[in-house]
Amino acid sequence: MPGDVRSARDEEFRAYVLTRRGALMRTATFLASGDRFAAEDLVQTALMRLYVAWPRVNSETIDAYARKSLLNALIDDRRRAFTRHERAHAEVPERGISDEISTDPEAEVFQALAALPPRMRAAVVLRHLCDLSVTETADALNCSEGTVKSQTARALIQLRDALTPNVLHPSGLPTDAEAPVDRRHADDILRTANQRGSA
Amino acid sequence: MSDITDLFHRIAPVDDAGPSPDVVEADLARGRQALIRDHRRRTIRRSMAATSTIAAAAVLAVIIAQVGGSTPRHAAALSQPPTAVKAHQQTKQHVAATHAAIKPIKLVAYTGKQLAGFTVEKVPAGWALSTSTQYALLIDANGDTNNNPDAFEGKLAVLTQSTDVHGLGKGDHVTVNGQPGVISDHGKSGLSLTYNDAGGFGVVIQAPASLNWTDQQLADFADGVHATGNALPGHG
Repeated sequence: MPGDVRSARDEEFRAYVLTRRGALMRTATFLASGDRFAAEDLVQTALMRLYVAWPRVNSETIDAYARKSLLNALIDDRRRAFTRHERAHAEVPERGISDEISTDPEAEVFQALAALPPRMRAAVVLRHLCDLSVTETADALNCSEGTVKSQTARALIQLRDALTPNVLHPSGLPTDAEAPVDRRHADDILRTANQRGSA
Repeated sequence: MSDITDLFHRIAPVDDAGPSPDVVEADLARGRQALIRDHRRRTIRRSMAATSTIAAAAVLAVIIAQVGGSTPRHAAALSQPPTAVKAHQQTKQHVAATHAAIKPIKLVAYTGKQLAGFTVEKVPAGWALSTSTQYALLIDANGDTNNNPDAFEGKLAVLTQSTDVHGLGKGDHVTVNGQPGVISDHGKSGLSLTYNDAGGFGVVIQAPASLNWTDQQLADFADGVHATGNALPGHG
């Protein structure tokens, strides 16, 4: 590889890492359900793949490529036999939902995310953390928009069921008009998806 | 903004400081290593593909050479005799041509010392008795003898037939002293004549190709061969 081409790639890559690594790390932390070591692994893997593909990646879609690499790394990691097998823990990781006030909202959210399947978790993270559209999320997950909608809807239901009210609504419970609408919206999407699936 | 979106943004870690230079350089180093590995993998894949292509081409060439194809050119090739047959034909033609070009060595009366086992009346001109056992009499060109009773190559050999062999075999039929005999052509090795003498004693005469004899010349030589009481039938 000619030296000037290589150095140009290196400089551009350096600049990208400096400005975007934080955002990738934030997404990866949610994808890894709060496991920051796993998140660091995902980011490193994604950036490594990005560097290799750098000349082929359009400058306008670098973020999309990096996110896709992140998701692939997550799914690849979950496919490995080690992570598929059960792991022994000294304490039972599950805990029941209580009406008590949570003192650690972050831990509760990540625990709720960990209970979701990886692709469902990825759908809700891309939609509600990265603020991607349904189309962008479908492209990142390499699935249909309908799948994104149904996966996100299911994820929202499970998250809301798992989280204590004060974490979900720290400023107070929603009015009667708010929550049911949100829940109804999710239920409608799920119903539509199920009808299509059974048709 | 939904409650979940709000919650995610609330708890999401924000790293305003950005990564340290060490972290950036480490990412760059990993990327470079991955690129080197990628190049290496591509090179290996390309070389394997090239090797496979060459191997496939070689196999295909062999198949075409052996089986042929449906094109007119291949059909023409198929109409030709197989390579081995052609080679054999060429060899026979070559031998015949060689025989025709070289004059046969004439038979002359033998006046020298007879050896145990067989007596001979005639020998090829310039040849003499070399050695004999109870099972074989060997005659070769003068000055070209190794006197090895077990080395028959290039020699005119008179052998007793094995008791395990029955019949005269296949070939050209001749008569030796009124007895039926069969001459077989062994190509470059020469001719062989199998017959039973008047006493029923089986004899095999091997005439090397260097004599360039015809069947009749071989039969004429056999007419002058007589087994003595020392000759014993072979076994095996």
